[in-house]
Amino acid sequence: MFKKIIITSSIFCFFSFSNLFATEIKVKVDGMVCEFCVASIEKNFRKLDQIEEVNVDFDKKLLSISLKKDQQLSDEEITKIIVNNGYNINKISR
Amino acid sequence: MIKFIFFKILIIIVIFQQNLLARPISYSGGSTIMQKNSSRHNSYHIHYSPSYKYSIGYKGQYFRDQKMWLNGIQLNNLVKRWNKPDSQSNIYLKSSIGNARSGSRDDIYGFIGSAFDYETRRYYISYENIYYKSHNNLINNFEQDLNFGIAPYIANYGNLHSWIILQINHIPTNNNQELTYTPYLRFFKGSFLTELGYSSNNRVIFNFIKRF
Repeated sequence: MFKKIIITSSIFCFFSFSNLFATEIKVKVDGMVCEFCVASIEKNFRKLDQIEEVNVDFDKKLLSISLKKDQQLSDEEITKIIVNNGYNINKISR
Repeated sequence: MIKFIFFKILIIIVIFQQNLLARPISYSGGSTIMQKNSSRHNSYHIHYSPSYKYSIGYKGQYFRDQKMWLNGIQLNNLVKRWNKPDSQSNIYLKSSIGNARSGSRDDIYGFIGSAFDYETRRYYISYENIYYKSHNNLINNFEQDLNFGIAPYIANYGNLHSWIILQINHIPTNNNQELTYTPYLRFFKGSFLTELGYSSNNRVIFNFIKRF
């Protein structure tokens, strides 16, 4: 019984702490209505070394950016890429 | 004298408008290849966007009725863009200068035009006008297009997007004020876009755009 509790707790702790290292940034973008145009935003974020994954959700008007472990991406860098692609940022959540 | 003034103004616009206006044909550093076959002409357009606000490129255009080729440098600029949570709309200016050839005759031509579009994920409307003029009147055309589109389904990012669009083309300088209606389908996925339709003057429409 004690063994089971230890194993379950260890698994729970592992997943809880691993979430602390994963950094996901949610960016709400105005004007994202056309995939043909928005593809350029995704392409430009993927060029950055610190990016693990980039996803676009048209329904939520949301750009989700996952960073690699111990990597940083400032709001200014995000804003620069989005504005240089001709879009406006509504909100950045971390 | 009027011709001289027209060309002087056109050259000034072509040379300097990138400093006055802006246009996002593509994103900063992006390139685009476009091949279009409309109800009246076939065209090839390759352009590069140093910034999302304007692009510069080469456009070759063949006017079937007049059996005329235009080859020129084209500049496209964004005048104004409105980004809203559920829509985007833009005003563009377009201009070109180059050589017009019909048979063995050559002429220097230019065009200026403007375009407006409004798009949501469900609806699309656009308007464009272009005025072509050459120095020795080899070409002197004005034409305008109106497009209404509807997406039969709302696709999310990464899926195939489809549109049903009706284009109305009007050439008011013709004696008969000709109107051409072209229903067409637009499909795009990622950086590929293609359009297929059939016009009321019995032309098959096929357009292809690829962005890099």
